[in-house]
Amino acid sequence: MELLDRYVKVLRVFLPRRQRDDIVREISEEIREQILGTEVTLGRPLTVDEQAEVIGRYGHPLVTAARYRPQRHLIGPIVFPYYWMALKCVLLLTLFGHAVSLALVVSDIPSWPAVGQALEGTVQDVFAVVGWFTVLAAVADRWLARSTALRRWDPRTLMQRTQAFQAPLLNDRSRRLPSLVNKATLFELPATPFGLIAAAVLGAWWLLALRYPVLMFGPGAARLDWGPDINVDADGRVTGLLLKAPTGNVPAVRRP
Amino acid sequence: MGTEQFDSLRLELRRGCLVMAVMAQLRTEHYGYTLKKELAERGVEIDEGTLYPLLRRLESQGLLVSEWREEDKRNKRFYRLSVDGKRVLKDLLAEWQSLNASLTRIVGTRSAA
Repeated sequence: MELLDRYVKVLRVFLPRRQRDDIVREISEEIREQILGTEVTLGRPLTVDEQAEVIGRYGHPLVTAARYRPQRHLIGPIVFPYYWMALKCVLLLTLFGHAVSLALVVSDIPSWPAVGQALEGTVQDVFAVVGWFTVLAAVADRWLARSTALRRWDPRTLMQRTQAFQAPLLNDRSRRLPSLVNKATLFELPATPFGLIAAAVLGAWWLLALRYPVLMFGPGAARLDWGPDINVDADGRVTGLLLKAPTGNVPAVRRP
Repeated sequence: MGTEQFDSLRLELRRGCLVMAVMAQLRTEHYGYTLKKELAERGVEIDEGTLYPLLRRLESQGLLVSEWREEDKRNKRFYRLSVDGKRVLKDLLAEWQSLNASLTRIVGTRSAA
């Protein structure tokens, strides 16, 4: 029964540590009994193919072992759509920033090593953004799972919010334009727990990127400086809405 | 696509029924192999890769109890319904019968085919 021994050996690796010995013992005994029972009925030892048919019914070791574990996920179905939406937005902005940065690098030092370095920085930043967003979404997911906010939800709060948001929008004119009603619902998004999470994550990234442009523009940020209409704070650090290239090749880049 | 949809829905429908079938069969003590055989004889096919993890899950939920015992010179793990399991099974069966009666009223005998 070499095939059986090999099967349980592989299965053992994937099983939950605490139950491992017990499960392997049970499955080994059961398969052994099935094989021996069939051998007695047939009056001959089973071939490897016949043994494989019996063992195959127990499933691929990876699949079978997974069935012994409770279902787990890093980001659940409630948080995932907002995580995915926010991640796409930020990745788009990051890639846009890095594309600008790459254009500056090429115009400043048109050499392959410089381009390679910029691309390497882009890849690193994309991984960093994905990593951080995944961590934040996982934390949000765990918080939501433990929070009672969703279970304590009262549908009447929708009415209160809608009235609050619709007040400036739903005048007599809007009654003739039902599309405005939908707009009011969109405005409500930041007032939902998911909207708040997405807004907090996006906002944190945006504010950090203002302070550390490398988060949006990558290594090329070192070649960027803030534009003329800026505010200088007490540290002499600059914050503002315009960026410019010190080389003057690209005079200014307006943030979106 | 139609077959895939059917398979997926069938799997969903069977999942709860399998739990009830296993629990009901374990009102008398069985080990995995005989449990599977008896279920198959009564028309409920369940593959081993599903049955054994299901037995463990039900046991971890306190619905089954198990013990290792020697029978025919072989060690086997025997499962049976626990006291809690009996109570839960009774409730589940009542729920299933009520659901079944409702479905019969909805579908009706005329359009069932």
